[in-house]
Amino acid sequence: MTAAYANPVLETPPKISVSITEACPHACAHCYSDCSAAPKPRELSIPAWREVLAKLADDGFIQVYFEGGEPFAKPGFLDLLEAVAPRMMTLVRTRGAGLDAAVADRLAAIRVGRVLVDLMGDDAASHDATAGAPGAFDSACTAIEECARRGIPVDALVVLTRRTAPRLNAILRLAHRLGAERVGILRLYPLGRAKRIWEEIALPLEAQMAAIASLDPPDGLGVMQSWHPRDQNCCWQAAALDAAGDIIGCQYLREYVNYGNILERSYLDAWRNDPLYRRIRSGNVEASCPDCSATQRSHGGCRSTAFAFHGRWEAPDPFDVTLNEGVDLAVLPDRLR
Amino acid sequence: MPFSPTDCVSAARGLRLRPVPEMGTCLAYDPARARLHTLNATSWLLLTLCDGRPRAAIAAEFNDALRSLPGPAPEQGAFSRGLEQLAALGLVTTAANPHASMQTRKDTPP
Repeated sequence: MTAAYANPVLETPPKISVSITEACPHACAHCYSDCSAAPKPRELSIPAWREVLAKLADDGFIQVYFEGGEPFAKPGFLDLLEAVAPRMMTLVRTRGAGLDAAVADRLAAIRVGRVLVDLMGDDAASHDATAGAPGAFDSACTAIEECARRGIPVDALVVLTRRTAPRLNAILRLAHRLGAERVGILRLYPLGRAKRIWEEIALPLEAQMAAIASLDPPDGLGVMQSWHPRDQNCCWQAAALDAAGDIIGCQYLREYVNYGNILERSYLDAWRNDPLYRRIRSGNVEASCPDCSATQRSHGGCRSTAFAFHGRWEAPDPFDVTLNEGVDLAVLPDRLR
Repeated sequence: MPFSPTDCVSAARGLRLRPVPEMGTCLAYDPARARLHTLNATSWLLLTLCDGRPRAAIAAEFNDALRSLPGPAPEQGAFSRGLEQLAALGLVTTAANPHASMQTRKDTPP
């Protein structure tokens, strides 16, 4: 029987994530968008994004988090950022490709709110092997340094895998040395190319928890992570668009939901009226971790990984030690192969 | 930051407020500093009152509003502390009251 859990309720969402492109000069082994160097045919143009983002600001959105693909690889992205920044707090997630001193100057002039740079290793060999591009490590390091040098708040992001786990503390030290304020450690999602190499890179939950427990950040470096007791069901506040303008609620739900296209339906209409979107946000889940719900004010943990491993929207999140129920996170469910 | 009771206080130029009443908060985006702040209900109230009036007039309305709410009386100094916090975040600006300056000049012997 389903217990009566409930997440906080927002009448309208204030923040949104936008995958501005699914093109990227890198070939990351675990790329969730299965990016290639060329943009996909349905991708929205910069003029279309300008109109979409102006309407989102009119509808009460006050923060936009751009990601990709590689945002800086999309021609016209900086002009778009410049148009958006006076009305919305802007954050950009990047692999660092193209973020050199000149682009950092422009970002500072635009007054971008925060830049988040993916690190896939603590040296060129480890990073470039996962990024699939020689020079990717140097680009990522340059991006962090150039942003930090100009006072642009910058975070590093690391996806926790078999490859990065032994290097986590070295990555923390590197990020700190380069000028990052914080490092976000992210779970690996069974999406895109990550599914094809899941058994090669995914860690069992016990090993993930051990890696998190072993973190030893340098003084002054913040660490963000969402393992127990911080496993949040953030769907209640999540809004997202993919590169084609499809309304997907959260970037990590990209392969599971589609609430319509932003060129045909307003975001608020989907938010208010789509039955599945409302259901996923509700927090009416089968089980809730008391420790995580106490710290996060939400129930059941991440809906993307819960759905991925169980095939049910109300299922428990197996990345939470109290909700795992014996699921081996190092093995992909047959459904996703 | 020193304040005069006759100073006029305004919300910073370009500030965009996005109330989130469901959470009892208001998001304040400051594009000049590229910062997004989450204000509690008290700071939210205070910021909305900072419309260019003299500080004393804002204080009176702020304290009246807090007294009208159920619960304990507002803490002594809540207004000054709140205004200092908003000023430290760059969310309000102060300017000398032109009328107060004229009065001073008139009272000053030649």
